[in-house]
Amino acid sequence: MYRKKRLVLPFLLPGLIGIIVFYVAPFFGGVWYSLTDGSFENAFVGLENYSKVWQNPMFQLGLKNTMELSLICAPSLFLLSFLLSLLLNRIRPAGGFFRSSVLLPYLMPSSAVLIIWLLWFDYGGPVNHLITLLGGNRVLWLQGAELRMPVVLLFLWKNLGFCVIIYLAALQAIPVSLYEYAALEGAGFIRQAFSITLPMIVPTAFLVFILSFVNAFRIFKEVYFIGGAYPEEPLYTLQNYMNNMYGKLNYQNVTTAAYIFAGMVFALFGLLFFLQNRAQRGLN
Amino acid sequence: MRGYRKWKALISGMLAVLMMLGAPLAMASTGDRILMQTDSDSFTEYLEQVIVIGTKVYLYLSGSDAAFHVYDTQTGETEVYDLKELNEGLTGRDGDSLRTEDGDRYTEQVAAWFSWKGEIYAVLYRSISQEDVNDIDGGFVRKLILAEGKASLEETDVPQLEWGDMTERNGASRYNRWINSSACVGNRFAALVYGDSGDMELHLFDLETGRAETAEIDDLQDMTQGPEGKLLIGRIDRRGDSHLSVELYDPEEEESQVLAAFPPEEADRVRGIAWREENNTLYYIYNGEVYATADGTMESAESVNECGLTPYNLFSQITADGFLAVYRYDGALLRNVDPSQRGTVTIRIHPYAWSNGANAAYYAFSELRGDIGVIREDSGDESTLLQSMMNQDDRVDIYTISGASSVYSALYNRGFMGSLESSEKLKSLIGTMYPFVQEACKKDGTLVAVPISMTGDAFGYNTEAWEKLGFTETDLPRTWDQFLDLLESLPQKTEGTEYRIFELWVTKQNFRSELLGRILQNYAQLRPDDPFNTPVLQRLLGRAETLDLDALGLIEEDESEEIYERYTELGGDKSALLIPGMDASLESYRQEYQTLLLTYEEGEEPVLPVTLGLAFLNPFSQHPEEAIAYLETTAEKLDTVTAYSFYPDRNDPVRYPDHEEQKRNMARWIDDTKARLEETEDEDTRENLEKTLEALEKELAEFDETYWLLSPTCIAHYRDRAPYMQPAGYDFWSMLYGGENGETFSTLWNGYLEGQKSAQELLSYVDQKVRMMRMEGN
Repeated sequence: MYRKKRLVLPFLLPGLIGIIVFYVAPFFGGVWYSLTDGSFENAFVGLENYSKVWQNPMFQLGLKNTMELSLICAPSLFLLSFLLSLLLNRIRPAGGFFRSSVLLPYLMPSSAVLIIWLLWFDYGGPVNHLITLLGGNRVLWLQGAELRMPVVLLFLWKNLGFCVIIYLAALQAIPVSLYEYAALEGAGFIRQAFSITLPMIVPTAFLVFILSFVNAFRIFKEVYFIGGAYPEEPLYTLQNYMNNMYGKLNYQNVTTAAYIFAGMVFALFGLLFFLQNRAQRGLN
Repeated sequence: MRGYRKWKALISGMLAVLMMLGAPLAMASTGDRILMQTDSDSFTEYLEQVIVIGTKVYLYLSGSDAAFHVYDTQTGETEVYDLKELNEGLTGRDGDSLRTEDGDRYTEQVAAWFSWKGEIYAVLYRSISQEDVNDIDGGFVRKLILAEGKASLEETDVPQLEWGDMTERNGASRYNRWINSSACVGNRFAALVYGDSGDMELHLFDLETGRAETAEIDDLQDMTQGPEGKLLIGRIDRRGDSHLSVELYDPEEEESQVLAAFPPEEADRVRGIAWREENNTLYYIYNGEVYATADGTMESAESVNECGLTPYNLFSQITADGFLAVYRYDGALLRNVDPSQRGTVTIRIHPYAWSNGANAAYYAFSELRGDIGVIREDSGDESTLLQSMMNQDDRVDIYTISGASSVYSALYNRGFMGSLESSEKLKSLIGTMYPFVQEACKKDGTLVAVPISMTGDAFGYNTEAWEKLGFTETDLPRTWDQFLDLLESLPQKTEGTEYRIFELWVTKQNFRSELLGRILQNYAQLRPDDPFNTPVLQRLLGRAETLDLDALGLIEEDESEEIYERYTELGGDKSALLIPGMDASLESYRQEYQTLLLTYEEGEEPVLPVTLGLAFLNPFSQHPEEAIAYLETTAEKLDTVTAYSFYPDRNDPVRYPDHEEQKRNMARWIDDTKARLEETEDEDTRENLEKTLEALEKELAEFDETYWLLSPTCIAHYRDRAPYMQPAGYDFWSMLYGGENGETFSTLWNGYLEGQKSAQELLSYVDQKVRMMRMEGN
């Protein structure tokens, strides 16, 4: 037994070295940065950076906006992708074409799409034109809090395809015979969806939910393209804060902000895992 | 025992004598030497050309102390030959003009000097005045005679050179082309000039026949003396990959031999190229150091010495005994190219901020501490400086940087500046400077920086005009509102007087930009924690928008071309009451103008924002003592104007060094104009000459009063404002224009200036950005 372990180690070593060098060491290096003052002496300051960053109004603004945007984007993405995948799963003629098409936005560069998006949401653009046709008033989509709408829609449009593909894979893995038995037993579409489809895809749905949140937390590219380093206040995200701090080479604040945020995300995902386990048990 | 002591004393004595002798010998053996340093205060003299013949270096200095300085590398001695008489001979002595055979007046000038057959020759051209037209006749070759401390020119057998291509036409007149560099190759004089197309052209003149031809070489960038029968040329193909090709050009065969090719990214940084045939080595200057390469590649190049001079507009030539004469318009140095003889300690200076006294400090330090080498690097991108500090980079010992730069602010806040407290000299020097300067040089009471320069600007007013227009000291505006009131009232007050409100060339856009910019910038300095979108600023910007700019005599952008034609008609000769962007530093304080101190409400203490250039020690420097010694010299050798700006006790007025010479010249121009007036019969010409004479006589009468480097009035004006000066903690405009938001701000600002955006939009934007940046912190 002991000899076998010794044999395993050399095989594991390259991988372990990689993990230590590229993951573990930077992680602890980052922790060290967040505990020093970044001055010439680089003095150890304990949790002072955490306290300062937490109290910084721009960090708070970034955190608040990131949370708000995530709470809008993630559930919307989760639901929309589920519904769309159900629909696509049932389309038979040219189903492959439609399923492939939803992935196209994911492959397109954001900067190119953004220009078109901004034109659409311009004061004189097609979106406002549609609103006026429906009897509404034009909206200044590209200013203030309204700017969130194009950003959210762009995010959904871009990420929807990826989540749909994951859902579709799970849906197509459900044995057709289960539905056939259920149909013979007289179960309709709704009954099948809740008694067969949903229990069978809970682990996948949970994965999509987590990925939606992860992607939503990282909303930055779109915001940065629109507003630069200092966008309108409703769009200033935590990534803006960290990016600006990085630009000022304030690694202490970057790492501190990153670890605070990471801590919050871990806590949230822990809670989600707990809920998923309970839900899975209930459905079983 | 007694014998042992005697021997010990004798040996100690001998050792002491040897050490005393050894020190200067060790310094002298490197051969490095300052050949020439020009006056860094007034820029009234220029080192125009350097010629090397064997082991002698001939330095041609023009300007107030025009002379040939001849340095012999063998004897180490310099002889100076005055050029005053020679120059007077070229322009006519004692008011007697030189005349052509047709009776036209002319003056002669040296187009270039060159060495031929071991002697120095001058190529002259004549500038001939024919009524209102100027003509050129050139290509006269004279031999230089240096004797008894004076330089003179002697006639030669060389025929007049075909000079036609060396002139350019402007209207009915012709002018001589500026010769960028010249050399002699075989029996040909070579001159590099800009041609009509804007490209460099190499013209070759046969010194035996006078015939001229143009070399067929593309993409010429530079040319200098090469080995016998060849020229050393530099070519950059800007249409291609822009690499620099260094070649030996043989005009006889019309062929080039490539010696080196420098990559495009380095092409513009390689300067002062010289070739030594004896060891087949190419020397060049790169980032403050002299490099030698035998195979023409940068990879194999070895740094053989520090250059010493700031690395722009540099040239070099090699002497017969292998020293490199490095020069630019303000100084020349001799450099040993044997790396084994370099000093043991070399300090490195990286300049992000410029100072007029930098050269003087370098020269003084070199003389004081010849054992320490000093590398003065090219200025680079300062955004990498903080990263270097975080990596504890010890490559550079001293940095200079603007005190308003965000990088400086980050370095200062994080303590990446070495303490200078060990230097009693620095403490004592900086301790006597203005408090605002002292404060900027200290962090938590510790001396960390040396001030090297100062800039700043504000609205200025003409004190004499102010009084003549019936205003008193109490009428001076003290708030921006009062200033806007003044602007509204001035069209009426200045009408029919000898004053304009602004100078003729100030456009509406310039003025709006200055006014609005200054209102915002001063606000940021005076109220660093306040928001921008306030009723005060909204009111001021609103009022600024309603000003009648036509009534203020401001022109449109597209009118600036034609104002010179309508100069008198538009009142361009009148003095201006106000200047929109007057330099608040002493450097360009005009004696009749004073800055306005404006606040945002009555009773508020005004502030005059200035920016300091600072030098500081890298805390990771491996040579802190030597670097501090250099900083001490820097503080001691500040140029006069900067020193006066920092030290409140320096109040003696300073004349330009060429004051007397300029006065003499002016008297000669007057005599010359009078003589021409007597001869001229044409009425129009007479009228013009009379006007010129009147202006010259007026200028001469006021010359003593106006021709100052630092006049008593100018010093008094500055002293009056110095207590209000405050270094800007950050550059307001860089904050808005810098980074990813710069383009957005630029569009908004231009939109506002052109009337497409409102003051409200501008203020909201500035308010939001600045507030976010401030809240975010560093």
